[in-house]
Amino acid sequence: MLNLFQYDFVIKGLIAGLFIAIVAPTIGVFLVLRRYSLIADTLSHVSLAGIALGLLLGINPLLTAIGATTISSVLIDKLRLSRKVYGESALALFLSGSLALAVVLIGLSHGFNTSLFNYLFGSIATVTTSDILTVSILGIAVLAVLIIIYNELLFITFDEDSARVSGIPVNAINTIFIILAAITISLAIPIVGILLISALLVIPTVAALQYKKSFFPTILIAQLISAFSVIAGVIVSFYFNLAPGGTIVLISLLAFIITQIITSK
Amino acid sequence: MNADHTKNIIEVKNVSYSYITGSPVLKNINLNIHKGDYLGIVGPNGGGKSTLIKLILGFIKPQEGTINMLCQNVAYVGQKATDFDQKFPATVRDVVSMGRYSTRGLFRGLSKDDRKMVEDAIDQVGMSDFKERLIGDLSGGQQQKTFIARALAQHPEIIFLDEPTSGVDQPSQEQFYKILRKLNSDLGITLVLISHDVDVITQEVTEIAAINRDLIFYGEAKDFVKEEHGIKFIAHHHV
Repeated sequence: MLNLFQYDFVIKGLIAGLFIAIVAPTIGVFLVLRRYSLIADTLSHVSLAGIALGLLLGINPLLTAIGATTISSVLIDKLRLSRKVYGESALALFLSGSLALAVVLIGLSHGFNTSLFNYLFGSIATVTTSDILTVSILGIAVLAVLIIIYNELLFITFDEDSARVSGIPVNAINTIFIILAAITISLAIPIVGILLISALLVIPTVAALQYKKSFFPTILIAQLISAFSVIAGVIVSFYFNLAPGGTIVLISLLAFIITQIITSK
Repeated sequence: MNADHTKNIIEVKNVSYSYITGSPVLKNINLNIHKGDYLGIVGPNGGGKSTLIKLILGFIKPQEGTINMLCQNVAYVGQKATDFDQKFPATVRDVVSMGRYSTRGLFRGLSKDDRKMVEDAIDQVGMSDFKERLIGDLSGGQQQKTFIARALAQHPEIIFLDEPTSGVDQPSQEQFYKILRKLNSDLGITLVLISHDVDVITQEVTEIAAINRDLIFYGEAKDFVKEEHGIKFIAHHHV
């Protein structure tokens, strides 16, 4: 049997994958509880436009994706706060708008190529050393900021009005949080790909919520499920020659189903 | 704390408000909330009492008039049934601890003193046996007590309560009002209670503001009941 750890790309994929596995559900818990799951989908489509731009200009697409999602996340938040359009409509504008922009940019760079396919569905095999650096530095930065605003964000997530009245700077914290979500989504691209990112944010969280623990243990369980899914996904996809992004998401779905069976007893 | 009922802590002056379409919801409202008051804001649904609270708390801005907040530390207990997710993964202690978050800077966990204030607040509402329970697993009355404890942990000068007893059973309601009386008389906390349930409120609070677009009555609760328009108000708007 092949030893998968003798392959450099597997090690790189696992390291980047584990960073994402820890950060994504931590953001995901807050997104799910605030009924913001759709933002993850929207921002992942925005990141496609960012990637297309990066490919066209010859810049590292991960960086252009982070730029595009961060700027869009702030604009979505502003549009939502202005109450000129409904929250969901703001998301729909960005989702379809960025997809349209991505298609045009891809057309300009003369159509589909393999690297674009990798970005759509993830490709652990092509994770570079510079990707690992970006993912680990920004991943740790996201977690650090999240720890700083954790208590305030928890209060806002539970009861935004009371938090506001008690003097918590709700708008500022919300903006910081949505930027963290945007960065996290971009970082997850090399691992699961644009089309499957929201799964990594949402599925471990939804599974962890079934255990009915208090807030912090719920986050830990979500991280555990997500880390397990990424490791198992990489190993299984390596030995059975499957697409890693899809395998990771399918394993996390399996974890959710097992959780349902355990917790319904 | 010393209750000085002559000191204004909130001043509402000539405030009018209308939503984008239609006629004004509130017209030329004037009222002062004093330190130590136990004010009940009553009125029919759609009469503008929730709008007035949103204005005072700064969620919306008045088109005319001014609102002066002369107090620093304000707590808010919203409508229980609509305000929170019953599946939210938080224990009673988690929820009450939130009352301490606004008083500390970022990057600081709760101090020993903060934790003690949280425990004290839980004790004061009689929820000590339920500290580790998930908020969604509690009865409506217990949830409401938890929210009061969260407000208390904040050590506020004033607590606003918006229809706090909706969805809470009768015995729990009585307990709930007993806790509120204690907070007002023993701790001197100013309370503002919004309710459509005129009968109950008039027996609990010391001041009444009756609002139906205009400020129909503002004064002591016992005068409201005695006066003719108070009786009419109850007769017409009893829900």
